[in-house]
Amino acid sequence: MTDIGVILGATFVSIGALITLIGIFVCFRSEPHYYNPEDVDAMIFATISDRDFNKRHGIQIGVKNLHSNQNSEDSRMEDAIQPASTFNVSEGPLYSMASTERFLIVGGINSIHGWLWADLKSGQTKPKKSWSITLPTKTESIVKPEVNSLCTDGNGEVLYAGCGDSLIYAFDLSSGTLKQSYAGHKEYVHCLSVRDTQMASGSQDGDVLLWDVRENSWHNSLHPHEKEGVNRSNLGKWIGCIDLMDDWLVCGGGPALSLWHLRSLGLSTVYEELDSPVHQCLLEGEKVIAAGHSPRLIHFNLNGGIVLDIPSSSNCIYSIAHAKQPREVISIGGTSPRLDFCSCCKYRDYILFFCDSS
Amino acid sequence: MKTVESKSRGKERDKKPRPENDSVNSPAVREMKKVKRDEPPASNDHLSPPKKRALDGGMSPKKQSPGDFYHEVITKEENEAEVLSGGDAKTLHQETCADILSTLKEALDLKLKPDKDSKDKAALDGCRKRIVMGSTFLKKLNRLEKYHVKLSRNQTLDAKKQVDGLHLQLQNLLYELQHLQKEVQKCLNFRSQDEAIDLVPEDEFFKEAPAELYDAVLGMCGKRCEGGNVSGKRKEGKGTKCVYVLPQAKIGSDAHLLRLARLGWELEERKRLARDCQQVKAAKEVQLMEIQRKQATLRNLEPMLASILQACNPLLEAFSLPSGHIRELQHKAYYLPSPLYILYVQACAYVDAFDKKVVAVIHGNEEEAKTLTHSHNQLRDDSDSEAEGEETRKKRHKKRRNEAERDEERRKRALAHHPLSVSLSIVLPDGSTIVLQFRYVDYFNLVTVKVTLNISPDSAQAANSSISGNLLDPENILSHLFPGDSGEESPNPTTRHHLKEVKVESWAELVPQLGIPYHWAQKMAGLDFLPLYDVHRDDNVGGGSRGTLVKANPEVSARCIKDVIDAIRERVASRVALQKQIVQIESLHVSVSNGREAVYSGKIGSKLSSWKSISWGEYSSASTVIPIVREELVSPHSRFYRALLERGSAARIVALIAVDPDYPRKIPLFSLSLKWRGERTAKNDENVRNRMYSMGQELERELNVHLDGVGRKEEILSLQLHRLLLGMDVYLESTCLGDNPAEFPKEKLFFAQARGRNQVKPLHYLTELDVFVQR
Repeated sequence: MTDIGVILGATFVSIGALITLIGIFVCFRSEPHYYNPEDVDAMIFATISDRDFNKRHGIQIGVKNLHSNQNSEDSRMEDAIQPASTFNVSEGPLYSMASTERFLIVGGINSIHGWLWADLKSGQTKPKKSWSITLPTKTESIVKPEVNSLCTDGNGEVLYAGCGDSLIYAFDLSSGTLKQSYAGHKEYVHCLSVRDTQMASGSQDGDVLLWDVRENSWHNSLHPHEKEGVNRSNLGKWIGCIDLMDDWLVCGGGPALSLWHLRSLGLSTVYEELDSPVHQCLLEGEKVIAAGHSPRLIHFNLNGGIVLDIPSSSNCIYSIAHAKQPREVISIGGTSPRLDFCSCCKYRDYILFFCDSS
Repeated sequence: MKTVESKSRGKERDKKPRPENDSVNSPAVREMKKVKRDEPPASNDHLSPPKKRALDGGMSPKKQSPGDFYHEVITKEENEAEVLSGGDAKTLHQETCADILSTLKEALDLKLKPDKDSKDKAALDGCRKRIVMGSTFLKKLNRLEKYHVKLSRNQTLDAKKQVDGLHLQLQNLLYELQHLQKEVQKCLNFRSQDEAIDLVPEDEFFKEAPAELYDAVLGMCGKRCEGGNVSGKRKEGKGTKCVYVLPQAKIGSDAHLLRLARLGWELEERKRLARDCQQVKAAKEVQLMEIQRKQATLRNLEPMLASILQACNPLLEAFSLPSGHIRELQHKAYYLPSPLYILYVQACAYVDAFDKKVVAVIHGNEEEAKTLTHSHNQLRDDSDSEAEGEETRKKRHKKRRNEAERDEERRKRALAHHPLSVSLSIVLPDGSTIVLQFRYVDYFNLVTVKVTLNISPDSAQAANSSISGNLLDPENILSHLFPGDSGEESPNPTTRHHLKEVKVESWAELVPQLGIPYHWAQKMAGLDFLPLYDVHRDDNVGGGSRGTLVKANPEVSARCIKDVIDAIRERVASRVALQKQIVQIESLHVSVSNGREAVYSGKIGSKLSSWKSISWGEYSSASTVIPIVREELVSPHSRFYRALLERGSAARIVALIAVDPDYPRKIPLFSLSLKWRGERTAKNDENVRNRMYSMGQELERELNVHLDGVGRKEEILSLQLHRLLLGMDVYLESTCLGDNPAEFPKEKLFFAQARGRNQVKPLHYLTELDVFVQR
């Protein structure tokens, strides 16, 4: 099942800070171009977890072939897998994960770490860290900023990090140097979305700022919490997730999940069905995939109707990833130690968790 | 006409094997035509006899010898037939027919001519001749064809015969092949019996086997090992052993010979070993006899010694030696059953070596014990025979009653413990004592414990005022002293069957009568049973041999006695401390020893408003603990409490607390649900619960994970509650931050209201700086 010899990257799941006992907090990015055509069915997913009482913050990587097993007779829906490798990353919790063709990138407190995928796939149980960037924070504070969101541009050359000091940093991945920093938010940055030169960011202060990555000031802003019908005062005004596509932007958090037209900066649709805080949303062509503080993953169409409603093992979902190539897979992670996979996007067909390696 | 003739002539020439010269052709043809004329009688019997005769007559003048000629003609025609192919014959036939037809036409023309001159008549004659010639030729063709058919039929028959013969031969050969293959397979499958024999390894064999063996083997299959060569050398070197090195090499290279030699050696060896065995057995017999003899001597010695002992008793008393009490105990100790004896001896050793605060005493009636040991086995047999006797005499209903009585009696005997028991009194630092009374139940081969606790006056006050379930209940204060040792089930696997025999459902029924069969008690008494379940064996107690023999072994006892006593001390102390904490908490007052690290000294807004003990059923049915129960993080043997915390009137936290029997080694597990704000506004009930549950998780983590190892172990429950109150304050204050007017104004010092995508509140308290930060 987890043949280390043939591990090659597919989609991967990354998991951030941890909840009580055995909970896992997941966030996730998918890079469709990352598939290796020879081993398309192998799937690596990495989790960052804090197992039980050990107070560790690390990454676990496991490999599972999601597609072939489907046909075999004893295809159990719930399956424990042995982590191929488990390694500690930092003292503090981990908040975010991203990937380029070469690197697995993890954001923790005040620092970003990178591993070569080649090392991870070689099956070493304790892969060597490839590089590490410390955030250029100016003030000497007890509270170090965390890296809440990581995003790479299409070529995997620039890494954008939305951080706890309300700034967004852009790092050149080839040299590891700071390329630019973007100031504008008044509170810490929750989420980022970068498409070509367009960047959108959401923050605890409730603002959505729109940037051109070549300039260091924002050019437009949205305030979902000031909009009637979007605002949910009891849940706060923070924006927890954001996604951009062409002229559309979807965002949610304390305010309800909403779809905005970027040219006119006008509100298009409000998705009231998701009545809990929203933690993750994806804008995929004609549909919006979103989840939050409830154990379900909902697919909406652009007009606000529900297309699909998939139950999840986590009470609170922090990460959704959608890989389209070579086969469609959606993975869901959250406060449960279990990860859910929908290999055809219609229903949940796998629940995986790591067996205790100790 | 000429053309026709030449044509037919050409045909004649064609059917001949060797073409003849054209000039010589005409006589030959003519002769041939004669032959043709002769043929019909030979092959065509169907011709009408008169015609035949006429023909014959026509031919006769030319005949030299009829027989010879006839044969000659036949031979000739046969040769012709052989040469003439079917196609040629056909074309010849057609041509001849056409010829005849044209000649007929010509003749008709001539006949129809009105004025016939002689020339015409001659021509008509010629025509007639030619027609006759043509028909004769046709006849000949027919004959030749007949012969041809016959010939080819014969040929086909011959070929067929040949093919049949070959086919038969092939089948024979195939069958033979199959048979041979079967034989080969049989040979290959043959398994000799020698293969099953476990042989001496080859190296050893070469080292040890004597040279004579090779000799014998070589002799046995002298024919096989290419004769003269080896045997010659053998003859030469007869008498000297070094020569046999050569045969050895020879054998070594020949697997069959080697095998034979090894088998031979095996036989020798086994014979020798059998002899040895017999010798050893004989020696053993002798030893046994010796032992019996010596035992008899010893037995005679015993009464003598006893009388001497009795004789010196008055003397000892006269000198009032200190041995009085101890000796009496020791005397009693002789009558202890072996597990209790081991326990007693080891406990005494422990007392002498380490700890004067433990006292070991033997209780019970010595005489009873004495009689029991003597009559133990007899009794059982008697009761059986007696019962049989009764059965035959009494009536049915009486018998039934009797049986019941008998069962009762049997049961009583089975459930009786040994009249002697060992008591261990352990004195604790605070003056309390715990008394463990160990008893031995022979029927089950188990040691049971009865616990009595004498609590010192200052602790007693706390213990007695508790409302919710007494933690110091002697029945369970020592349960789960080591992992998995609940005392509810007997550690002896055979107990289940014994219980069935005496019609007792479970050991729980016997506890008041016999006591609790803790696993550690068995270990202290040297009984090392295999664990019933595959629990992690505690290193303190475990590590013993996993042998199946369950006989009292002093080793086992010696290894664990100190650990057990230490564990008991620790357990009682921690239980007393826990009890004190709980009594305090029950009065809704959370206090942690002042000045201790990790304690917040400022004002705490939240208050504990209720504290209740609940059952496992109540606990496990709560929705907040579903994952905890599912992951089996809590044992049902824990104690469960429900606490209600309030701040103001709106915010409430319901905490479900599980205190493991192994407290404080395992810290209490909190699961929380927060009720505030959400309840008023949200539509969907389930959603609220979910959300609040997850928010509570941050706090839970702080309490359950990060507090482990902070501060003093004994006070961990109070510390956790203290932190829970603090956490609740921080949570509410940080959430309200920025609201105007704030429901709960900020009183604690923290920098960031929240951090990270899950908006963690600053729940981690840094004691040095007196601030709250996120982890």
